[in-house]
Amino acid sequence: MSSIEIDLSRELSSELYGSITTDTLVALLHNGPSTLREIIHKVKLKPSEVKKSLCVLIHQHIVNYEVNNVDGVCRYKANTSNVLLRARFPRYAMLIQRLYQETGELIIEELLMKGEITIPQLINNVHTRVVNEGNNNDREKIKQTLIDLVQTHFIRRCPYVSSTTDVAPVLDSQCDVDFVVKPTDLTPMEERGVKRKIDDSTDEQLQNRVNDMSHWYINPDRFHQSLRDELVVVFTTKRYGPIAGEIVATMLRLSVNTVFHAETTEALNAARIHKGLPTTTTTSNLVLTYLNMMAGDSNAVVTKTGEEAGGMYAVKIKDAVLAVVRETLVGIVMERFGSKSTRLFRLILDKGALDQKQIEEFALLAPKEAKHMLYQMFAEFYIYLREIPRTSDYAPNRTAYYYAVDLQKVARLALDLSYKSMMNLMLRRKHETLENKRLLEQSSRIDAILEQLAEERADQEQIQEIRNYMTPTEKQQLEC
Amino acid sequence: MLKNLESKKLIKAVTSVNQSKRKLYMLYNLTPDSSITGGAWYSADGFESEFVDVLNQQCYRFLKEKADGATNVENPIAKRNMQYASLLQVQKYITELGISKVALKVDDIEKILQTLIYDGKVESTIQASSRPAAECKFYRAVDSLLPSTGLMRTPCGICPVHRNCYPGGEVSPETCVYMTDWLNL
Repeated sequence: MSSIEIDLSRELSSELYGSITTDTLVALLHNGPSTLREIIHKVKLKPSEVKKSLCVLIHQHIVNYEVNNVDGVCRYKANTSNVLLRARFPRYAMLIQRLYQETGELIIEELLMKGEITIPQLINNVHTRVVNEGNNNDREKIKQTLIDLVQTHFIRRCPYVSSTTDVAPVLDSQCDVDFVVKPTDLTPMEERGVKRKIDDSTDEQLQNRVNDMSHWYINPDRFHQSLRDELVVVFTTKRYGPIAGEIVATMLRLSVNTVFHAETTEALNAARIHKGLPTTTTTSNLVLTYLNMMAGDSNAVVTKTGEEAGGMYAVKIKDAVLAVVRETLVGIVMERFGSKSTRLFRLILDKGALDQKQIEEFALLAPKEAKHMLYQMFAEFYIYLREIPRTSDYAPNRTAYYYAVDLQKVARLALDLSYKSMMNLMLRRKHETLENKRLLEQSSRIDAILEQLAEERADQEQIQEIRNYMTPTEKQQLEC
Repeated sequence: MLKNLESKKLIKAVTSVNQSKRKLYMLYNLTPDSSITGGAWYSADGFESEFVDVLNQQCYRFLKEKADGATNVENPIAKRNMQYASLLQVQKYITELGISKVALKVDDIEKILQTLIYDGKVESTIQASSRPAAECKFYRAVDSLLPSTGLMRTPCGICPVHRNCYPGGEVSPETCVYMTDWLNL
């Protein structure tokens, strides 16, 4: 939770949830887990406002509460990673649109905005949106897409209230029904005796009946798994060609319900992969050839796990992701420092730790140039110096200095820079909107007047006069 | 005295790679060791980076042409094998080109190819066989593996002063010159 992450969380939250909620959130992030009284004390807001903002934050799964066993006090805690997920929401929506088309996208958008919601309400809301846009979509299709999304683990059930103590409700969840839609979720309990459709009821009645139903929310891990799989497939395609990319995509899809943090997928045999391929132009032999080729490569994505059933193959997810991380970081060094520095960076990454002389020998660059680039990268913390003393006193001219790369550190740096860059862009956008507020308002006023005049069929002259209220330079600025 | 010996062709002067101002003398019929002359990359003036660059480009072009020539083969393994060139083949090609005044050995070419690997333009594998080492190492030209990341497409990724940048400071996102350029404002 670096300060950049807290700043970015503040920006994101103020755009999505408003300033009062943001103040509460920032106080929580700065202080760590705190009780309600501590939060009220820290934030200059009324207790009712703090309570409402906490409700919103808990509903959106940003804040959690915990009852301490020792002193029996309930503390609220927030994590920046939950808030920063909000930046990825458009990507989640795009992913679902690719897989489940517009219906799926609308369902996920509704869930992302609301945080937690019951299924009848969700279906209602999506149906209203679809009807407002003019498309006639029946509820059955929405319900079916929703059930599909739950079965593929994109949506999950919230923990339910199993009991209430003096301090706080106790939440519980049964793992085996987390991803299963039971009939009680689709219709409230009291209704099952009476045959009455939900769309006949009013909103208020619906509200009363769904209060004891289970809520559902998105499962971010599953989205991340999909995005990660896509990245691995892109990497494979670039390396081995489009057919190999399809093979790896099929393998990842067939073992999609393995645990998120698994290092490899399940082992699959060639025939099963061939059956699962979307296009039928590739023969089974070609699939086997590709698998063997990929398995034989030294820094491979696919590995052969055994000889049963003609050869079992698995995707090495952890290795593939590591390779992607390495290539991305090398790409960042390339854009930032140039191609010669990239050569040095890759050289040090490969060999582990190198002396200045050894670097010059391997890299075949002019010594002065190599030195300059090394120091530049060192100044920005992409490489670091390891001191190995030859004598017991750390005399500088008797210590060996080796350059090395710590990938974790560089990755962390790059992540921080991305967050900072995101925040800077958001701030700049806010600034530009404020600056040009006057212009934008004037332009929208003029548009409104023009529309009105067009309706009243006024003179061309009048219209021209009004258009000239805005000078050409202002118009140009506006277009920018 | 030294000049006398030099004119009698008994000793000769040798420049060291450490560029020391001291002259070193050696018996006429001995060749200096590579630790003094620096090997094939050093000439009388010092490190020849242009020479290395030219060799670099030539090797890469050779491998790229080989790779491009193998696009019509159906079987992926056969296609790959066609794109590979052995170390010996590369060395033969370079000596045939004749761009180098000094005869380049297999080790030197290997070093050049290694730098191409560190540039990310070439990958290599080793095939186990009983032939001499130069025929076992294979090289192939490759494309870059990933497109540039989103971070590098924004000005903040390349900004030299990003550590000093904060809202309201002298360097700030609101007044950032790079962003103004980037957004064409």
